[in-house]
Amino acid sequence: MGFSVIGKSLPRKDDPLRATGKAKFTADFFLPGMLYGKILRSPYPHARILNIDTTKAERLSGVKKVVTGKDTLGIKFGVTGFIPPSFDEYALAIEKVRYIGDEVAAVAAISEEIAEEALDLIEVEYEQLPAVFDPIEAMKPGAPEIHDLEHVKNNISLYVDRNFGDVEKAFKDADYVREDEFYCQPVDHAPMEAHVSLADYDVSGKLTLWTSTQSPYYVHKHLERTLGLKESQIRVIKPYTGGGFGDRAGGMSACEFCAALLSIKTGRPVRISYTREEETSTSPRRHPMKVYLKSGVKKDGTLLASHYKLFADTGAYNNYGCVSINIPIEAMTVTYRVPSVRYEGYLVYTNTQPSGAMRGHAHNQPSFALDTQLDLIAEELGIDPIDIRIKNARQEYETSCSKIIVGSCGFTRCLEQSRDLSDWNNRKKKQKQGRGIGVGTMSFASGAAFNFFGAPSGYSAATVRLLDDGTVTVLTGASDIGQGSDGTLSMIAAEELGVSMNDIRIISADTELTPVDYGSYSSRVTMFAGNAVKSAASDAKMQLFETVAKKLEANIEDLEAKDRRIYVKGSIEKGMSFAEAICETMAANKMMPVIGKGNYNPHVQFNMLTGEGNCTPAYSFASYVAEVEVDKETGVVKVPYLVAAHDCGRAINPTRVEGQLEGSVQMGLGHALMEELVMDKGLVLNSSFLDYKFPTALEMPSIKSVVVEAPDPHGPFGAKESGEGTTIPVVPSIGNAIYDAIGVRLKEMPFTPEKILKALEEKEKRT
Amino acid sequence: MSLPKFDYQAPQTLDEAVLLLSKAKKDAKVIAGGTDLVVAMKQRRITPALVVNIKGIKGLEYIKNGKGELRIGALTPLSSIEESELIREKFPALAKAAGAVGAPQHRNAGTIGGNICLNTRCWYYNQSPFFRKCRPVCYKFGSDKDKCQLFPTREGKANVCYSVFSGDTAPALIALGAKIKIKGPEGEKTIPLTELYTGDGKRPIALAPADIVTEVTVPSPPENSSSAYMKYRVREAIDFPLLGVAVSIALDAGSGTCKNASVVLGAVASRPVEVTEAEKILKGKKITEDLIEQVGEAAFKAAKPLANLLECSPQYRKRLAKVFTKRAIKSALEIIKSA
Amino acid sequence: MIKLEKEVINVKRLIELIVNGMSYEIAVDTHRTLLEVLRDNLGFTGTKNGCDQGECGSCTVLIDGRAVHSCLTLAMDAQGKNIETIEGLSEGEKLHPIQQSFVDHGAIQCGFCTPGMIMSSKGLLDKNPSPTEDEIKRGISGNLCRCTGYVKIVDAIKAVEGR
Ligand SMILES: Cc1cc2nc3c(=O)[nH]c(=O)nc-3n(C[C@H](O)[C@H](O)[C@H](O)COP(=O)(O)OP(=O)(O)OC[C@H]3O[C@@H](n4cnc5c(N)ncnc54)[C@H](O)[C@@H]3O)c2cc1C
Ligand code: SF4
Ligand code: FES
Ligand code: FES
Repeated sequence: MGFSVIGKSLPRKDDPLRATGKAKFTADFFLPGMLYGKILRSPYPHARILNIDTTKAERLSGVKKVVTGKDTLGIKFGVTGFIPPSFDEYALAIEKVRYIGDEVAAVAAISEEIAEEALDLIEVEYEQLPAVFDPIEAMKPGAPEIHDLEHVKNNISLYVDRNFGDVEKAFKDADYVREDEFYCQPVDHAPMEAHVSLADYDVSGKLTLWTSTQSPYYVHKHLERTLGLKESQIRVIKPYTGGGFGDRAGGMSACEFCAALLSIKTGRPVRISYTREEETSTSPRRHPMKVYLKSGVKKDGTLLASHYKLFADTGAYNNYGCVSINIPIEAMTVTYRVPSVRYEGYLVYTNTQPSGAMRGHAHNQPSFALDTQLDLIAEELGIDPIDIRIKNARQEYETSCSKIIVGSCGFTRCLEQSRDLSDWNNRKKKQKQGRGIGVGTMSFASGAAFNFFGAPSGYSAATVRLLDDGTVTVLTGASDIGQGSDGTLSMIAAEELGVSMNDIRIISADTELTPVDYGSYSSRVTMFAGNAVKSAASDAKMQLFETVAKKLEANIEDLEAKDRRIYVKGSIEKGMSFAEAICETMAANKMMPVIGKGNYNPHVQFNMLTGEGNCTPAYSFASYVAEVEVDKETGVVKVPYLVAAHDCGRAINPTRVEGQLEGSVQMGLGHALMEELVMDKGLVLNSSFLDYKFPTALEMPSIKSVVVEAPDPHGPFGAKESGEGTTIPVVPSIGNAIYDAIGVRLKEMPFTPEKILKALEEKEKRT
Repeated sequence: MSLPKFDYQAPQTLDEAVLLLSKAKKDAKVIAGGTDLVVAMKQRRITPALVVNIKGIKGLEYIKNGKGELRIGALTPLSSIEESELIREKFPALAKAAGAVGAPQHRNAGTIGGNICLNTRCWYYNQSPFFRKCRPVCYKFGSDKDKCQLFPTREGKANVCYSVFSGDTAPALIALGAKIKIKGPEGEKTIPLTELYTGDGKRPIALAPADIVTEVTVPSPPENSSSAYMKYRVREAIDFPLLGVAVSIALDAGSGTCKNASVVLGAVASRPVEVTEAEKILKGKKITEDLIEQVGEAAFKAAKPLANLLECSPQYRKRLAKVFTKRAIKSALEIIKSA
Repeated sequence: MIKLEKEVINVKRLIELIVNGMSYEIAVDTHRTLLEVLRDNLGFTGTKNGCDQGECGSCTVLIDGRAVHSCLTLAMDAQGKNIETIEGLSEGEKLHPIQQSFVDHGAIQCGFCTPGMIMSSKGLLDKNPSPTEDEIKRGISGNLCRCTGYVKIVDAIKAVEGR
């Protein structure tokens, strides 16, 4: 199919605004009379609040309002509404605090300094309670009870036990069975912009909130619930936002709630900006997980069975946890054709920072285990690591043991390309001392069709307005947080309507103006919002076609929209300009505006009881090969080169897809080698960018990105996801390469020089 | 987070600056590039009543090749040192060390004077006000009554603070035999740089409140000599050293034996640590693999880091001291050979 | 009513800042950083605050041609010096070649690190018009970006026209 716009690497129309500093992020707004908010946080990991005395703080000059849990409606929130117990958090603590950083009170004052000073004057009387910081400890009988909830025993918020296929029999049939234990550390999203929210509650009783969010609609819904406002009283706008990676993907943050509440109470605009410390230590992190994996294979490497046990530390609150503990099934059953899988997942409360969704959401951990264990098995059986993967690789349109229908699948091609472009076969044979290569893989959902709010599904809607000068306005709820959805969606609309990208103006992520879209999470935007925009554009186009067909006395089916014209296919002169067509259509319809409506609401069926079925229409796949250099004297690992082959269905914008791959490599590299939230009894010790280290330009490998296209019939122009899944293969590829280089196997992330030296020493002792 | 309030003065001359400082109460602070002090003030670790900006004082920013010595004005930015052809060629350890500080922005703003007067670091100390709401303050932050929270001494014994001196240029300068010029109320004096460091983590820098470092001088290296600096950190930029090793070596032109050798370790104690054994091992001998190994071993012994940096264990830093010392010696010898 | 408390040690000072070639006379508290004054007093919000303590480079501006952290610079100290911010690079609709190259190469994702990144690039290129790849990486090594993996940023800097 010849595309005009799709497949081109076009910048977003507003990239020049970002390049010149004119793009306004939330912290760049100053409203008249604006107050500055600050949040008082618990210094204890677990304590009962006996009393809060705010009088001194209120008396400080410049302080306009102090609020505590008593000033709220005391309604719990969370992320997922479909599992009732999932809502377990108050925006401002009531009775108890459950982690260091839990929100206790908030202040609005005429300056940030005064607000800070006021925090010191709030007197909180706590009764400290015993606390627990490790999920395994927390599950033991007699451990401190963090939530007093009926369904929670031993701090287990959710336990799932899934059985697909006949696991017991499969293990019996296996020629080789092995068991390994892995650990994935807590890591931080670390978007460059910390949380910031500006609320303005006006005299008409309307609350406008500008906020750095990935999901304005969730924020809207939660504000509605927790503040007791009507849907129409709230407007949530996402201005330019500095990244997210899952950090602000769900529910609502205390930043948003407190800014809104303080604005309501003072009648003045209130802005709250998190410090980097708050961002790192109180906004969600990736679930630290212990992963047990037992796999059974035939002699030839065919996978027969896996049994996973995951212990996910959700911290003090569920946040995304109830989703997080359900979706690893995809990682376990989709990437490889394993016929039987048992999965036991424990979502466990501890007195630590809450965990949430993060790029590759709950897939990274089991995938790290699987990809590492596959190499161990391959070695044992004398099979090449890529061969064993190709042997078991998922093929298109298969159904997994978990009854997931897989759509298009270019996984084998990804494996082959990463092998060939990395010169795998040669390098495997003759490698310099301390150098090695390794492979890592993934599959990932192109958007979860979960229904978090009892809506029919996690859907997207869009409208497209055609203006009489031939330009187009796209309205979408999708949030561009940097990944580039504004550009991608503009391109989709341009392609569908046969106009140029320049003709498109996009208005996005404003709950008052734009149709519903649940947000930028689960790598859903291209699939969901993309399809919605495509269908809205198509709807508008059909309105034009109708008029044009009448005018030209042609068949609608024979018409084509291209190069800003609508004409009979094959004879470009037989038609009219796009602008004319719009004017004609309006004229033919009593000057009615031409507006196309569209939505996307895939029919996928995930069974919450059995864990079977799809929660997404399509899967992306990838295979990466990393090359490492290990200094055996110091244990320091460098990654000079990495090939990333990724089946994203169709690259709507190849530069953006590469950008996702490259950004993912940076994040994965950080997770593999250096990133870890260090905690002492629930207190995060490295909450600054100096101490929480992620790679600079100097650590980056040279990256060869390969876009493998296996267009999916569900995707807009065949596109699937790119962005989340792309982080997953990095860690195992590096881990496997380290093994190739120096013969030591690390099962605990991150792979620090010390762990490497220790493993080397142990290896020497053994031999 | 905003800075705490303070009174601010920007004197135009050294005398004026010294006068301002000596008239001020105890908690006056000199600010140069501010890249260390401003962070400390934002975190409320240091809250001076008066800040004296010395950057307006003319004539303290220069790199001069004097009679038998290199002279660097205290206000010279690290980036100028890193880029100076003269220093790169004659004092490679210093150029390397200056170029290894933080990131380009730190080196553009940060001065050599500020770098050698850097405060010591400890994960327990370099924290925010919120951290101090969650944990008791330690001896370095608080008063003499507050205990060191990481390595508490027994009841009745005097407190010790083991925070780590993490400046990059000091080890290199000490290995090169640097001296510094100090201007104070009593006039001017010159001391070997090594005497600037007390070794006491609570008060690591031996300057009186009104003292200002004005110049760093380094003797010109003899023929057949060179130096090297190696730094270990997690990332190749931004991060402070978890270990620094500076080496300077001079060989006898004829015999090729070692005339002088100096090895100085950074980030293993509250001051730069001179590996005095090194010269004893090498002097008068032809430097062999075996001798290098011995010096590495001596560095291993001399390094006595404690568990107060988050990134890695003291055992690891100690081990690295050996590896990096050996590598630094080889690198310096390499340069001599190629010259 | 707001009770105005007398500030003990703090008196506002009248200073002159030269930002992007324009002179601004403003009264500031001595404890204000250049970042605060640029953003809050002068409205140059293109300069971003990512960490506020010299660790991320989002707040990078050029002072007398050198890239520095405005979050660690006292506004008082910037008096009379030539301060360049991201807003000073473009002229009307015409982007500076570095800005144009960032746009053209897909070097911008969320754009939060971009202003600081571009200022560091400018500091580098003004001094060294044809840096090697390693010099470019070193030049931006104080600027953290969580989106791009730096690859397209390095490409963009390499390709700056007329460098
Ligand atoms: C994120 C980050 C990373 C860093 N990484 C490194 C690193 O890797 N290596 C490293 O060495 N440093 C590092 N630094 C610290 C700092 O940037 C440098 O050490 C810099 O050289 C300090 O110089 P300055 O002029 O900015 O000092 P200032 O902050 O101005 O002063 C530092 C101290 O020295 C005193 N002082 C300054 N000049 C004089 C003088 N002439 N006479 C007497 N006292 C004086 C001040 O009172 C203050 O106590 C880092 C800082 C940050 C924020
Ligand atoms: S070593 Fe002890 S006294 Fe010194 S900074 Fe660390 S905790 Fe404080
Ligand atoms: S905001 Fe100044 S360096 Fe991060
Ligand atoms: S583009 Fe988002 S941080 Fe760099």
